[in-house]
Formats: sequence, C-alpha cells, structure tokens
Amino acid sequence: MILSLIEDRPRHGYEISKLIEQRSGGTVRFYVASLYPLLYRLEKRGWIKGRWVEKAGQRRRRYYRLTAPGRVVLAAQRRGWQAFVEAINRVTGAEHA
Amino acid sequence: MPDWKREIGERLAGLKLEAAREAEIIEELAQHLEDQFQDLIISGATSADAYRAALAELRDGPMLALELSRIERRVSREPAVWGAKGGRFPNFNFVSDVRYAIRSLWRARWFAVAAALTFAFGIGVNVAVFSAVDRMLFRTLPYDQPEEIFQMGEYGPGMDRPYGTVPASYVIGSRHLPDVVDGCVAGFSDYFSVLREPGNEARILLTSVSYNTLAVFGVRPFMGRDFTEQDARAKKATALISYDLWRGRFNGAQDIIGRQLWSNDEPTEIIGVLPPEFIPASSFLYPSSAGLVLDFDPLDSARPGTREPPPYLRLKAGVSSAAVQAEINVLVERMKQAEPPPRPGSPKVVVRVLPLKTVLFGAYASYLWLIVAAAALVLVIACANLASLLLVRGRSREHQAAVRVALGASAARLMRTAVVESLVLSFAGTLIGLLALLWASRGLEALLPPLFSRYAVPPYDLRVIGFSIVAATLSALLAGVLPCLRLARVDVLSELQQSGGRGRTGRLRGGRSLLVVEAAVSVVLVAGAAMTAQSFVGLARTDVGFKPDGLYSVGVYLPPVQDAQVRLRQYLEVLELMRKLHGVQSAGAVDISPIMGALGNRFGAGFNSGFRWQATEGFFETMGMRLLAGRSFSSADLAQPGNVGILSEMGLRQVWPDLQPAQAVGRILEFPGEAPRQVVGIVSDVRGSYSQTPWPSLYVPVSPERFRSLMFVARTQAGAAPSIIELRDRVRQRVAAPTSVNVSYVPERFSGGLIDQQFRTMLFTTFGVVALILAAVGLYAVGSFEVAMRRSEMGVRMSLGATPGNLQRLLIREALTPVIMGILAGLIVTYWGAKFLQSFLYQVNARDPVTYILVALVLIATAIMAAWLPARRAARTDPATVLRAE
Repeated sequence: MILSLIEDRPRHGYEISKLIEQRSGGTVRFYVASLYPLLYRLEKRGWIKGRWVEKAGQRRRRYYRLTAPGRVVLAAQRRGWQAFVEAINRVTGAEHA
Repeated sequence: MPDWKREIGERLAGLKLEAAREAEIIEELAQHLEDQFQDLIISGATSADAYRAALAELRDGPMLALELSRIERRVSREPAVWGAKGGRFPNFNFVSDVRYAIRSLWRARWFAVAAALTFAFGIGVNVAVFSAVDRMLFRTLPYDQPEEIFQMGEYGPGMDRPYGTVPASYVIGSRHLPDVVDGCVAGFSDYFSVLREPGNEARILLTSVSYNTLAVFGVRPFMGRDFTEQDARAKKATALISYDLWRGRFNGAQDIIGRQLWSNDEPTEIIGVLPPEFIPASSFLYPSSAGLVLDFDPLDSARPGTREPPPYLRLKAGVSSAAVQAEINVLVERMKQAEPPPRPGSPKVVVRVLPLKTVLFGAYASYLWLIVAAAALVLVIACANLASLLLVRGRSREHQAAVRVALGASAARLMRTAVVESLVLSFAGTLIGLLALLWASRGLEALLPPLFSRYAVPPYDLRVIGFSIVAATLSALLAGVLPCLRLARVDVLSELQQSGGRGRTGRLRGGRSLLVVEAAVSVVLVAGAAMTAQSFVGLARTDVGFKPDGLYSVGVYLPPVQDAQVRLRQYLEVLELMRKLHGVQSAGAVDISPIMGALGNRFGAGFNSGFRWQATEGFFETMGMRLLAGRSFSSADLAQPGNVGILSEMGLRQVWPDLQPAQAVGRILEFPGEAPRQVVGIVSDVRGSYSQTPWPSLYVPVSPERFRSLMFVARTQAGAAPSIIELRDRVRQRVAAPTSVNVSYVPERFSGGLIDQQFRTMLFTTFGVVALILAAVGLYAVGSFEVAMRRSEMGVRMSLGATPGNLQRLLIREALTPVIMGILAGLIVTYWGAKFLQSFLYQVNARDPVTYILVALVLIATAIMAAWLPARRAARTDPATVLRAE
C-alpha cells in the first residue's frame, strides 16, 4: 500500500499518512507509532529510500521514494493481490448468484 | 509551540540508538506531529485540542519504542550482503560471507550441529586412516634420495617377502661393486632388550646395524656423532638412541652423549641421538625402535655359511635396478661356490634386488588400499549426507532466496552463499573430527596392530592437517553443488506469490538420488564389516590347542659345552631356577617351540609328515595343552627317555586312524632304527598360528643324544612377567654365564594374526556403523522434509478417508524405494568386488548369499526406522487444521 503511494513521486511521512486516510475514506489510519517503524523497515529492506529535502520557506522533511527492488516487489505483490481479490470475488460472487 | 522533540525523545530514551540516527528519527517524527498540529489549527481546533490530538499519535509510545528497537537493532546486525554500504552491487567479501553463513547456521543450530557431527564422523574416519597409511603409501621414506635405496634378498618360489637372511659373503661382495653400488649395509635385526636403570626395568626394542648405516641412508644424527669404521673394528659397544627415547626416558638431557645405556645388563656408550623422523627400515612389524646399536658384522670376509639379514644397497645415481640386478647375479654366481651347498630337496631360491619401499610395504599395499577405499566410501556417504541436508535446508529457504533475487542478488551470489554454508559446515565437522581424534589418539594407538603403530603419524602432523583441509574443501564443494544448482533455478515470481511454503510439490528432487547413493555405499561397507567380523569370529574361535594368555617364552643361551650330558643337566638346572622365580607358577622346556611356527625334526616311516618334539615334564601343563588320555611326562621319564612318547591327536590319526585316544594309550610305537616306545598319553593339537593347520606330532622326553638346546615356557601369575635380570643373575651364579637371555610374551607374537583380524574387524565395523548412521540421518532429514512439505496432501488424504496407518505405510513405502534401489546396486558392487575382498578373509565366502540377505535386511530395517519417525508425525496430522490453513 505504501509502496504504491510513492510509486509516482517521493512523499514524506505525514503526506503518506494523510493520503492513506483520505483514500481509504478514513477506514485505514496509521498512527505515528506504527507508520514510521513500517517505513524504516521498508527502508532497511531496501524497497524504499528516504532522503532529507529542504524546500524554500519550509523546514527540511524526509521524502521517501521507491527503489528498483521495491518496484519488483510492488509488481509481484500487486499481481498476487489482484489474484487474491479476484479469487475472493469469484468465491463470494458464486455464493450470491 | 509545543516541544515535540522532547515528547518523542522521552519515549525513545532507553533504546540506546545511535545518536545521529536518534536525532534523525526525532526530527522526522516531530515534523509529522508539527504538520498535524498545524493542520488541526487551520481546520479550527483550539491549540490545546490540537496538541492533545497530535500527542494521541504517540499514545502507543511503548509500542513505538519496541518496534523501533526491533528494526534498528536488527538493522545494525544485518550483514553487508546486498550492498549495505549503499552501493547497488553485491559486496564480494569472503569474510562477510562466512560471517553471514555462521549467523544463518546459528539460527538453525540443530540442523548445523547434526550436519557438522555427521560430517565429523566421515572426515574423522578418513583422517585417521590417512594418518595411519600416509607413511606407507604416499610419503617418501625419511631418508636422503630414498628411491636409490634397494634391498637384496633371497626369495623362494612364489614368495613376496625374502627369507630372513642371505649369505654374509653376498653382503661383503656388494660393498665392492663401485660401478653400481655406493654403499651397502647388512640388514637390521630388531631385538627386545631390557633397559636397566636403578630401580626400574623396561622392555625396549633395539636395532642392531652396520657402522655405515646412517651414511648409506643419508641421515645425520640429531646430536652427537655417527658410528665409525674404527668403532666397528674395535668392537666398541656404542649406540645412537631414538629421539623419543632421549626426550622420554632421558628427559632430553643435554649431557646424554657419553652416558651409558644399560641394555641386557651390558653397558653401551651413547654416542648420539637420531633425528625425530628417523625410522629404521624394517619389515618386522614391531613398535618403533628405541635406538641403533652397533653390530659387529664381518667387515672383510666371512666364514662360509655365515648369514646376515638381507642388506640394503645405495645405488649410484642414475643406475637402473636392472643394471644392479645383473651385477648382483654375477656376484652371487661367484660367491655361491664358496657357500655350503643347499640341502637336498630345499626350494630353489633367487636373489632379487628390490626398491626399499616395495620391500617394506609391498606385501601390505593391497590391504592398505582396501582400507583407504573403504574410508573413501565413508567420505562419499558423508558428502551425500551433507548434500542432502543442505538440499533440504536450501529447499526450505527458496522463498528467502527468491526475495533476495528480487532484491538484486545474482544467482552466482546465492550459489556462493550456499557453498560458503557448506564450507562452514564441513570445516566445523573437520575440526570436531580432528579434535576427537587428538583426544582419542592414545586409546587408538593401543588398538593399532604393529603394522600401523610403527608408521602412524599423529593427527597434528602438518600433512594430516593439510589432508583434512583438502578433503573438507573438496567434500564441501561436492556437497554444495546440488543445493547450488537448485538455488540457481529458483522461480522468483512463483515463489513470491506463494505464502509461507504451502502448496509446493513434496518431492525433494536430487535428495532421492542421494539416498540411492548413500544406501548403495552403505551396503558395500556393511557387507565388508559383516564378512571381516565373521572371519574374525571364526579365527578367534579356533582351538589353538593351548592357552596363550599368561604364557611367556624364555630363551636362555648358555656357552657351548661339548658333553651333551653336562649340557642337558645345565639346561635342566636353569629350568629348576626358573620355577623358583618370583611370580612363576609353572615352567617347562622343549627343544624347538611348536608355537613359534618353527618345525620340529621330521622322523619315522608311516608317519611321514609328522614332527617330533623333545619336551620336559611340566611342558604340557605350562602350555595349557589338554590331555585327552593317559598321562604327561614325569621326571622319571626324563631318566629313561627312550621308552615313552606322547602323541598329538593328529599324530594318533596318522598312526592308528581307527583308535580312540584311550585305546591308544599303552600301545607300542615302532620306527625303523629306533627302540620301540610306549605311548603313555594323547594331547591336543597345537597350532603354529591361528590360521595354520596343526601338524601330526610326537612328543618324547628330552634325551642327551638328540638334544642341542632348550626353549623354556613359563606361566606366571596374572600381570607378572619373569624378570630377565633376576633370571640372568641366578643362572650366572648357579650354572654358567649365559650368552643371552630373552623373554617374549607369547600372545604378543602368537596372536599377531588375530590382532590384525581383530583390528580389521573393528575398522570395518566402524566404517559400517558410521555408514548406517549417516544413511539413517540422511533418510530421516529427507523424510522429515517431505512430510512437512506434504502436510496439506496428508490432510486431504485423511479427509478422504485414509487412516493414519495408511499414511504411515505410504510414506515408509515411498522412502524405501530409493533405499532398495541403492541396496541392489550396492550388492551388485559387493559381488563384483568379492574377488578382491576374499584374500583378506579366513574361511568366509565373500559371496555368501546369507550374508548378502542379512546385510540387505539390516539396511532395510535402518531405513524403516529412519522413515517411521517422520511418517508417524505425518499420520498425526489433523486434517481440519491443515485444510483451514489453506
């Protein structure tokens, strides 16, 4: 989920948490206590990479971007996820038919 | 503005993170809270509400600390495997590979311990065998240019070892062949001697040699000087002692030169110490010699008929063995004229000149190679075993491997990891094996028959360690190949899509073929063990006709006396003295000892292959021979030696085949030219050695007419040996000063053949047992793995109505298939190799079908046990649990 959020452009932690909250319509919400450990873990695995960026008039923030291995993992996970969702749909659809 | 950094800092305190890293985290988190705080303010919240809401983000503070500690700490220990230093390229660092392998093996401790221990068995056996045979098979002899040293010997028809002596004139003649021979020394004779020091006696082996021995062998003394021709001509009693004797008994004393070596009660001047690696060339397989003593062999000429041990020749550089053989043939033709003619009917002998190594070890080469081959087979099993364990492990880590490939690890990188892991395991095993050997080396040395104990090197020998390293590396590479190839074929995407490892096929490709190999090799080794054990048991059960344990053979050589009556009386007095010696229970004498393989005097018509021994009263009792009928000799018989005789069982069968022992007693035995003799008793047959058939024998009382000298036998209280010094002193006081006295423990020489068989049995049994253990471990590992992989299949089978019994039978049947294939292959190989094995067996058929069937059954039983444990686990599977997990 996080990987897909930073697929197109690097984002910082607060931005990521906001996006998740917004896109899920408030259903999924990460607190600081769980979001950052997750980010650090992904970073240590080498799937994402954080960098301090200073912008004019702002304090510096850490932006995370997707790395090459991260892209591979994301692709694999997407496929696996889609297959899972389809399977669930097929199963539940059949139930309702 | 609230101080977010302080709030966060408090929650992270106690984590002991790296300072810079902690500051970064605090800054990033504070930024987040600040952003949120600002957003809330903008959307209209009061400052206090916004503060509370933002702080709520940290409400799981302990959780945050815990999570961070896990990540950050683990990160700090994460190896630099795929470029932790920020580079995209793998870090090709062998040390870090090894560290990684050790860490990942540490996580799978039990697996690692099992793999290293099983491998330690395999490598330990090989290192032990290598250290035993290295000197004999592979190492050059510890002399200068050893390939130039040859031995001249007289060989009978079909003999691969020379007779004990050659005419002394040949030795002297060989010294004067300047075109082909650089130097010649008479062969060495080893003899046991008693080292006498104040308050203590020790039996040591000394070697008597010509003065120029060290020169011919190209060896310099470690300390002191060599023998000289002057010493030999002046008949000066001098000795060079072995390095071990010097270090051990003389505590490495620096003033050793010039001290006296009291051997056999005679002082000999120590003139030097031999280098540590020196071993006197000798094909007599006693323990190592404790020193060289100058022998006063004839230097310039020898009386015809004088004989010397086979001499060693140093050929001139570049002279071929054919050239020297031709010269020697000419010499022998010339010298033969002066020698006494051979006795009529004695076999024709030829004089041959052979390389030293062939002479020393040629007769054992095939036996040694047999042991090497058997040990190599154990190593093959150990490798196959390590490979299958690694395969199982690799297979269960394919998911991890796929992730690593996904993260940019190359196939080569993964393979390297696997090989390094294999190396780490094999070296750990080798270290365990070497340490175990070192620890056990004392005990092992005591078990070694003389052939090995004389030439074995200790486990800390550099060549042995080198061999271990090479063997361990090769084994690791061999064992790592298969798991490597498997890893290289990991299908990344399909692996990543699967979760956890369910739903994969249950068969371990490659693992089953390894099991076939393990089973086949085990069969060969177990069959070898079974046959040598049978052979040993057969031999040990052989009735030798007397009791070797506690029996000593004592030689007392008296100065020659012309009058046979006087001489006999002297010997009988010695016998009386011996009976009174401390610790001696009984003693007897015989003219030629029937138990040392020597033959008595032939005699008699109608008794044409029999031997006659002259014995005293007490001889049969001391020997522990069984009296089957009648009586043994009494002292009265010795007074009337011509009247009575005692037959052995076979002797009885020769003379009166139809009579029972009791019926023969009292009968009269007549031989042409001799007075008739009454048979007064029948005794058990005595064998010259365990594998020799007994001779038909007639024992008669010692009589002055026929007797030349006597050999004594003495039976002592347990643990006591007759004291040479005491005996010698008494004989000197009462009878005459003896020329020499020696004592040998009969089982030591007599049981030589048995010890060898016992050792062979032990060796092959060890090989067989190790093979079985290794094969069982391999089977168990593969079986457990397959069962784990096939849990879902088992669940389905059970939900479809299979009973636990069905499942167990199914799994055991499947596990047995490769084992049975291996057994068949192994039996074929054994059958094929039987011809070779046969020559090492005593009365055992190397193609005995019963043995083959038993061996197959043992293997199958082991396999069933090894397969049953995982099968039972599988059968306990709860189908509901498994299917729910799907």
